[in-house]
Amino acid sequence: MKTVIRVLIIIVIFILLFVLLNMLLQPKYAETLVEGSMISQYYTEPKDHEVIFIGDCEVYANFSPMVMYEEQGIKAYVRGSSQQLIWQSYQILKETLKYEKPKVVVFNVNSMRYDKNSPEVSEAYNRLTIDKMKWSQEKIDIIKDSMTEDETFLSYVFPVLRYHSRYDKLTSEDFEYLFKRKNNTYNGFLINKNIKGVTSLPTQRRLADYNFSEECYGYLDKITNLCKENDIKLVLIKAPSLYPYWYDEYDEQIKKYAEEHDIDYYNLKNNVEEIGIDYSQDTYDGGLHLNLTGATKLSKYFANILKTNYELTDYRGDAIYEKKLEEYKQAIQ
Amino acid sequence: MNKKVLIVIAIIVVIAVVVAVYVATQNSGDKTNPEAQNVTGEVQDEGFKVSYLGVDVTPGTPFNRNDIPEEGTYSEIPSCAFEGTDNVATFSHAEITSAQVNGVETVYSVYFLDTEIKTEEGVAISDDRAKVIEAYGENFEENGNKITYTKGNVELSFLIENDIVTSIEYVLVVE
Repeated sequence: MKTVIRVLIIIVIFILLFVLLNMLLQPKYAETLVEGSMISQYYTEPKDHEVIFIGDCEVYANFSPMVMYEEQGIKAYVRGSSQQLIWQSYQILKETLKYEKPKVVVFNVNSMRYDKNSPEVSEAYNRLTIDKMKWSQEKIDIIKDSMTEDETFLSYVFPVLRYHSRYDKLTSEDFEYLFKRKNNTYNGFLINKNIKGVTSLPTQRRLADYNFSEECYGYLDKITNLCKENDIKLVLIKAPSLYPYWYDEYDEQIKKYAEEHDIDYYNLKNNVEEIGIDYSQDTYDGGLHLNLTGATKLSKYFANILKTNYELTDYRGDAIYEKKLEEYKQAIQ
Repeated sequence: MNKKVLIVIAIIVVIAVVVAVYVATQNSGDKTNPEAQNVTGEVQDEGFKVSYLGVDVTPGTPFNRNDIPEEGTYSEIPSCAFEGTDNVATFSHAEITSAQVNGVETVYSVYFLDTEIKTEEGVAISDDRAKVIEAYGENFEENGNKITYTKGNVELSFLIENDIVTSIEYVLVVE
């Protein structure tokens, strides 16, 4: 009996060491590459949002839920991540609906341009979206849908298989955030106060094919159907940006899809003047993403659209959100 | 069971972990580092060559925009989340995109902007498809309107619309 206990103890110790090793070597996304922490921050939030944004960097950089709350009393959350591809947005939406049922889901259509063979699909971005997701059927499916040829499912289960080479790159961040997390966003919005105005842009390239892939349409259908099944209003948007180019041919396809499926579509690139965006001041990277001042303008503008068209509740005065707003205002000073 | 059995079990567990790590990481490289995924090729002797105003700008070669005897406009295009940037230099007839590779600014792509510039084999925008085939042969990959030739670690693509070349681009093959 003693021997059995000893064996069990040894096995438990090995398992614990293995788990600890996984935790230590996995990037923490707390102080660096903070985009990798955004998906998981949602789990600790109160789940009473009436609006959920899904999509790539064009949502988490450009839409500030706290501005929307202050302006219109909207409770919104941005479940965005870097280069979030449409098959990932679908799974993230599915996961979100396990926690709550918003009135409106806003999907940024920029990712329609990338199919699974696009060079923009990479493990680095996959990791930023997937690594910190809680284990669920959606996480299993998102891994299967996203893995590039060189990736293995097992490396998502046991991160040490991927990150073993970080052993000599560990920093104080890896130890400080071994057992804790750092929230870097405000309801999913990542603040960037830097200013880098537009000076020049690359030439708009001609493309061999402007048509979105059947694969992407398939996932857009899934998002549409998921919203319909749950009685959620789906709203498609294209966030304002100057690059990468959003071709007219792209826009026509989304317009057509929206009309055919009775979905509202707002190409906010067309409203830049009305919104008041000044690309010499309101962008932190030369026109790809808005900075804090640009995102504030856009969020005020879009909050008005949401409030006017989708019968949202005015939650102003909510104790939790008032506290959040106070923290947000301190952060943007 | 005795002490020996315990030691054997411990050794097996350690070996299993080590083997699992080794097997799973074979050929993995550092794919979680976007810079490592970006431009990693080296110029091979047999690859396509391209020059602009007499300066060699073959993808994979070091690039100094000041070497080009012409003023250009410049933009930096960052990726969504990482520190790396593509540097885009736009000149009168071509746009050259470069990036830092192992600390060296390296040509990633060359995009022709008008009919004033020709490939080394004499093809320019506005030529017809037959001229492309005559210059480069039938060994190409076709994707919609685009045909792509690969030589060494450089891809040369022609966009052909209504039998006319409307776009020419050299791109470094990335691993």
